[in-house]
Amino acid sequence: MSTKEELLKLRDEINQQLAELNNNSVAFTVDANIINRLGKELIGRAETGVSELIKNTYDADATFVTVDFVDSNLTGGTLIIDDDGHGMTKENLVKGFMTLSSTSKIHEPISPRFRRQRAGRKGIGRFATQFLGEKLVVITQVESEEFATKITIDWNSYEMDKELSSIENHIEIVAKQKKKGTTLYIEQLRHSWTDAQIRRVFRYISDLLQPTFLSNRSNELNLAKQGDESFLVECYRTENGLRTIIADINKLLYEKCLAEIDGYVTEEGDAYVKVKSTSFQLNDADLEISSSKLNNDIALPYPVLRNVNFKVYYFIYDRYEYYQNGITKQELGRVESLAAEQSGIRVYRNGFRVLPYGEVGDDWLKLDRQTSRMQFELNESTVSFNIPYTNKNFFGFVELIDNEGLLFEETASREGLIENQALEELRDFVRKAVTAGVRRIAPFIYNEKQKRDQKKTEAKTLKAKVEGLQAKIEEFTNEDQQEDDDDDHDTNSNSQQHQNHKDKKKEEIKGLLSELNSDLKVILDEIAMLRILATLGITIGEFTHEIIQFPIFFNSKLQSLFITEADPKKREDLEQVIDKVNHLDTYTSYFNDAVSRNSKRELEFIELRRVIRPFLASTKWDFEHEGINVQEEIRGYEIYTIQMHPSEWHSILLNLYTNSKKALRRAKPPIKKIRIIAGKDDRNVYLEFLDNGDGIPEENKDRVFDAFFTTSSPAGINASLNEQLIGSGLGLKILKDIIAEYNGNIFVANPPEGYNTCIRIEIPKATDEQIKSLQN
Amino acid sequence: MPKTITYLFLDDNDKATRDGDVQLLNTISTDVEIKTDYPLSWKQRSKSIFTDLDQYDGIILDWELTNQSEAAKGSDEVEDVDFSAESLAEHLRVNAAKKIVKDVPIIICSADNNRTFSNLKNRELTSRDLFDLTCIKNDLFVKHVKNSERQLFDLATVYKQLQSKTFDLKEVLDISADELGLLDIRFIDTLENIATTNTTHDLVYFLLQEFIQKEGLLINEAVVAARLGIDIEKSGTSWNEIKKLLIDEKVDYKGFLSIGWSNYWAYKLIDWWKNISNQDLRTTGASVRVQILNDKFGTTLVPAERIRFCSSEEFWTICKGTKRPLDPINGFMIGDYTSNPWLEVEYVSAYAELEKEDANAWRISAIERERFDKFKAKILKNE
Repeated sequence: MSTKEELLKLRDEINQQLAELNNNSVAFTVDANIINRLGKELIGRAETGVSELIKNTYDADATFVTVDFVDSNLTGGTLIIDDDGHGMTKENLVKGFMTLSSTSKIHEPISPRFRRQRAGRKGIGRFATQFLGEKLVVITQVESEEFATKITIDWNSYEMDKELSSIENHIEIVAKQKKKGTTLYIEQLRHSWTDAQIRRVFRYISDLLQPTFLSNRSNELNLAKQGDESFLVECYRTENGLRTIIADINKLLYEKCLAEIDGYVTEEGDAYVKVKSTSFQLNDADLEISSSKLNNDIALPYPVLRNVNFKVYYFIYDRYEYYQNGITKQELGRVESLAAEQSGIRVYRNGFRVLPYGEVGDDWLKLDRQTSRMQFELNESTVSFNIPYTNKNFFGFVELIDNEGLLFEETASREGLIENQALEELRDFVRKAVTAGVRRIAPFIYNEKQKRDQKKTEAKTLKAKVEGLQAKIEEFTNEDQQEDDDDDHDTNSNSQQHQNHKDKKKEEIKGLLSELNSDLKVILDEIAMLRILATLGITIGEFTHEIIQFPIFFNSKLQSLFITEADPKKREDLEQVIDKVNHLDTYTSYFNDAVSRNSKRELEFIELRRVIRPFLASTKWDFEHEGINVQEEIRGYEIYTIQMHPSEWHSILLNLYTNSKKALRRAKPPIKKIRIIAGKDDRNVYLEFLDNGDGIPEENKDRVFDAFFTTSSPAGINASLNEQLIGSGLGLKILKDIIAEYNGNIFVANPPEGYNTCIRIEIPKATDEQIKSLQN
Repeated sequence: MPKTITYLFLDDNDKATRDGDVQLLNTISTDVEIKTDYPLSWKQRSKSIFTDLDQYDGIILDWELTNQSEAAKGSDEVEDVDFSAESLAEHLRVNAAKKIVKDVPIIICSADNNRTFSNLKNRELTSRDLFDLTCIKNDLFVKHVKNSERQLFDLATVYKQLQSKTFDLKEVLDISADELGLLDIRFIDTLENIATTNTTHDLVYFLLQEFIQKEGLLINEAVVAARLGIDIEKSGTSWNEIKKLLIDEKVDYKGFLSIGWSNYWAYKLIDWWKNISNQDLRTTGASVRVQILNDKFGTTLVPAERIRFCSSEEFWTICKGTKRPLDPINGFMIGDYTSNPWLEVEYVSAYAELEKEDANAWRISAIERERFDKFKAKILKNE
């Protein structure tokens, strides 16, 4: 028996004798199996276990942590967690790690070096290692010692019916592996690990992550050092010696931003900004930023400000569809919740954080106070819409390199920088640069928004969504019920799984609800617009009905006057007036007809010549007056669409005609031509509306059908509703909506020789049986 | 000189508008005067209409009486119109049948050519004999004012004549006793029957619907041209020369309602032709017919061309759709099956059917449907 064994035996005996001596008192003894039970009950899930261990490294003031899952596709693998924190001495290890429910985290809620708020739950770590694997090896070293301490624990020895303290763990002094830090080897892993699980681990700890604040430029130019305060975690998987990265902060979060805005001020005070977005395939480098408050044409350098770099990651939440970079909805949601605590643009001076800039609630750049309405030129038209760019939308930092302290000076109370010209210029620069960056992205967002608006107005999609949501809720409530029923039989890990499952379902439901919510907004907007148009339509209906009788009166009177008038000059005048009244009559009849057809809500199979010809008859006076040569080319017979409202074709033709008329007025060709072609193919009937006006530029071809897209100059502020509506750019959008409703298509096609614009409409055709039924 | 015929036009527009509407007709006419009045309430008008008729020879009603127009509001004639044109017409017809009031022509018009009014025109919604004419207001007072003026005059005159004299078939048709024997006996029999047992408006209605306005015993100018193989528009003054010849030879109809409606006796045209040529008119092609006429009268008539998809130029009627000459063998029958035996069947060309703009304009008869479908299939294949 060794000395040690003798001593231990002695201790037990003493304990026993003490207990016997003191008849009035009794102590607890602890069964070794408590470790197993605590592990299972406190941790619950493997991912939580790993994240707890990473939180411990944060609490140990680590800045860089690697998590490596080795051969862990199946159970029995090894997990290595390696940090560069302060590490532990042998005493720390024994008093801290090896003492259950140690008080060090209660006594020291703030980490010693970086003053971090401790993240780990007290005393959970060691149980986590037990939960995760059968064996634990810890190698740890502190900066001040020349050696490292290694402890090996075999959790299998903690069996039932053994006194906890009687189980021995091997502790030894080994050679130092690095300057400081701790490495955990959790061997004989009890779980297998998928990539998704590993990413989940990462997400659990992502609110601890601090971005690296070394900008690319200063890194390349070697201007500044990596700051100490960052906390980076990389998760790897090693299979057969091959290591691949599964998750790191860039991969998971910041690289998936909507745009990276990166700016700097040179030694000379010249300021630039770069914007990069994979989602919009945008990479605009070195846009100049001017210090001038007035004139933006010539970029003026900053008088005082020098050597500043900044980098921000820009996110728009709730708009998952803008992202084309593989970010998932969950990830974006994760970033958003992270934004509550981590967003903002922070300031680092010579590698050290300057507070309070970029803290939650600090708005040093006055981003939150600005209006988010952005106006910009887009293909000759001014677009104005809301794009969010408040502090919440940015994660980033400004890096000041000012080793001599020439530009910036911290206040004595360490509560920020002294207000001086450099700081004022810094604000000006960052604000302008961020705004310039967002402005670059704005047109893309605007287009996406348009696309989204279009897509979302489809009733089908909405219906599908509501049905989807309904199904999800039913599923959810059903499961809830079931769960209640077999609650008692559940093991803990099962209930954890259930919880997880439920959380996921809840998230899905939330996601669907928020999608529906934004759909609803779009629809309500559109309804408001349609309400205005509907009111207008009713007014037109009443107007034409009232006015239809006037041409009779005018004509009757005028022609009577004409008959009785002898003066040739007056007769000529009367003739002209009669001509105009007849024009008015033709127009009125057409609209009256359109209105009375409109009041009929039944759908009809529509033969295209039956809408084209009345249209041409009613507009004849107009196009002759405009000097337009209008030709009709109807190819074949029985060109029947599926059932539609006849009035919809009135809208289509009138809109197309109005657009062509404008294009012809702009282009002023020697012979103004419009050609209407109609026909049918195997599936569709088609109508092509051609003109030799000024054409549609390539870049507008997809956009002419967007709401409010117009090439007309904007109506003046005093313009009547009528003038505003005519040039509102709603025309083609409404046509598109009409046609989409019938699963048809409207697009800008290639015009044949002699024409510059061709709008082609395709509508499914009526079947032969349907046509036949019409005639019998 | 006072005008011989006076109509009352009841319309719910203000006086200036009402009077303005009829001004052109009043200006051009030396025979007809239209006076206008606000319809008032049923209580007032249903009584006053009897005394009104002492001064008037006919009534024109605005169909949308109850839709009081904005223009009338605020005028002194504030009383709401609470009856329809149909009820007033019915009221008059019933009392005319009882001989309480004299029988007069009743014309209905509408500013709005909508579907409901068209149905009214097609007699689908009203009892068959309420209105002598159903017109679009603009056609009545402006567009076809010269025609309408003659028709209003004619109708009122014919009503008067029929009520003032005993019915004489030869006078009504302006025809000799010998010629009478050439007409379809069933027509003569029906006409005489109505004349002795029914009211004046029944008789006028029968004349208009079963004789004057339909092809059969009488044919209109377009059908005359078709039977002679002539393209009216292209022939210009030569057509007028032929028309003059026909009138001189008394081929035209001169009986009752011939002032408002121009027609020719179908059998007299054939007789006229027989005096010109011994070639059978029906089986001679248009170009030959025109050649014969030009040779005989020194005219420069132009033969009519075939409608697309038609093979024959032995024209006999006009196509209901294109209004151009058509040989019935190339046409497809339209209409109902109850038409009187002395009336001709109406036809439409395949081209017109395929190109038709108003789906409800006509309907190919079921017995012709199959033939049309086969023909159409052939056309569509070649297109």
